[in-house]
Amino acid sequence: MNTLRSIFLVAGKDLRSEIRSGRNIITVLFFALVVLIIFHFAFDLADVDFTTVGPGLIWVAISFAGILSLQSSFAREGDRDGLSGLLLSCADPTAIYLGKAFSALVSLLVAEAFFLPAAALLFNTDLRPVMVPLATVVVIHTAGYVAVGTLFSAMTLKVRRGHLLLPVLQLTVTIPLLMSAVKATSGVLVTGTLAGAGIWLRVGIVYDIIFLVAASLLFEPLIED
Amino acid sequence: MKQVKPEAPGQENLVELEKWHNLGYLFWAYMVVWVFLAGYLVLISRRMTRLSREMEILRRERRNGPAS
Amino acid sequence: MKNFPALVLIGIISVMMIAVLAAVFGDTVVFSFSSYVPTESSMGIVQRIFYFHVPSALTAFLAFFVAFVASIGYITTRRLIWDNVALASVEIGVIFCTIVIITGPLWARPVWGSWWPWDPRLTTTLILWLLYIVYLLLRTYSENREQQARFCAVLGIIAFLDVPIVYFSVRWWRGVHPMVFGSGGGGIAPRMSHAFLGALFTFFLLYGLLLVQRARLAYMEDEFEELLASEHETGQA
Repeated sequence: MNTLRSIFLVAGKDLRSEIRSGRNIITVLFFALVVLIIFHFAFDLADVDFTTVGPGLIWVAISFAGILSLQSSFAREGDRDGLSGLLLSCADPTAIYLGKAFSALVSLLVAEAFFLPAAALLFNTDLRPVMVPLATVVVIHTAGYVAVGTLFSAMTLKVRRGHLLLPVLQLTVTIPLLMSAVKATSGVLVTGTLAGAGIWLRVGIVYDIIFLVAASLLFEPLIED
Repeated sequence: MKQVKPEAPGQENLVELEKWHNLGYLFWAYMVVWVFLAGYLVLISRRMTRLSREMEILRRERRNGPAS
Repeated sequence: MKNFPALVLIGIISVMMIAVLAAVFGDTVVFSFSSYVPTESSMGIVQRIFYFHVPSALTAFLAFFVAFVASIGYITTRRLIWDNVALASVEIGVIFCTIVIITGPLWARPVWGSWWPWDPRLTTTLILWLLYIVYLLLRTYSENREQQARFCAVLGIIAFLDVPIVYFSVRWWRGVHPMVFGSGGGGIAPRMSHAFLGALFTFFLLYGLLLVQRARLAYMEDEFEELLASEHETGQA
């Protein structure tokens, strides 16, 4: 129970400061929108059917924008060497990892909750009928993205010029997750049901489990100094 | 994957001729293998020689005391 | 001769390489000589890239697996020798991966008509190559030796866990994909499999040799740094 309390302590601390300023979420949201608009003009997508290109666009935008969110996840502690303070205060590193991952997941999901309707609006499509299956797919794949991203965020914060390395690390390791997310989303958009995602839903869940477990185990050896 | 077995005696030359088609690709593919493997081996052994030489110098210096 | 075992190994590998080369290329070098392997009927002579392309790929996978095991070894024991092995294995794996992704298109172009047909195995290899290049990149970023070993061990584990997911995702991405070998691709002539197994065994031996040499080099580099550091200390005292 102590671990669970620590997790919520860490997550709560981050989320409170997030809600107070909202800076992180707004930056991520606007970056994702900019990516969308850039794609729109790069490929002239005004007349293209949303179900064919939409899933790819959405997930590329989320992948890129998510990097910003991850960069600030541990940087918040980095300013005044808060990570060591955090380690001293609540001891269990796995709880810190899970708390951080949870708060990163929530803030990325909030950004997505604004981003997806905006994307639907820009591409003249209505996502309301598929809201529930789409939300399921988004939550599953965002969880995998954040699970591995939180680990890399802590890692790159500790090396010099690590912020250069984070996008490369994160985007390379999440290539299969991006593939799964795009396929699952397009399956949902085409059929309108969660069953349309087919095998990709399972790929997403397996990815989540593998990397959540691996990252929980590896976080402790990673941050000890 | 079947082995080429010319049915008629006259066909043998044709098969033989066709076989040499695309030999260039084969040649370059194997060149890549050898260049990479040999290059890597040379790289390792050169680094190793240099390192052991430097280490020897360092050890000798320590035994005799710094030169300067 | 302090390097005697390595020399013997190099000798054995050379002899085996020559044997495999003769079996595969006998007829392309000396026209009257007939090679041990038959010419494949639909792809022609270019199919013989197979004898080095596929063993390279398998060796690369083996190398990354060894790096994964060595990374776990480092995390649990914290002995730098494990990190030396992991580094050596990843570096060799990247070399073999590079060979695979260069010889792959050289095979695909004459057979399928395009340089990069997005074949699942080739694509998986490309993503693996990227992953482990990033691993080598991470190495150059950290300055603290112990931290470098720790971070690389973490990435070595994460990257290898990614391998099966990458493979299945790439496979299922298109639904159908060209099958050349393996199940559904038809059998393979016995002589072909002899040459193939010979090549595979030789490549594994070569990997072992390279691994030992490269890990030793890494170990010596650590030793050298230590010597240099202690020199510095005595100089200051």
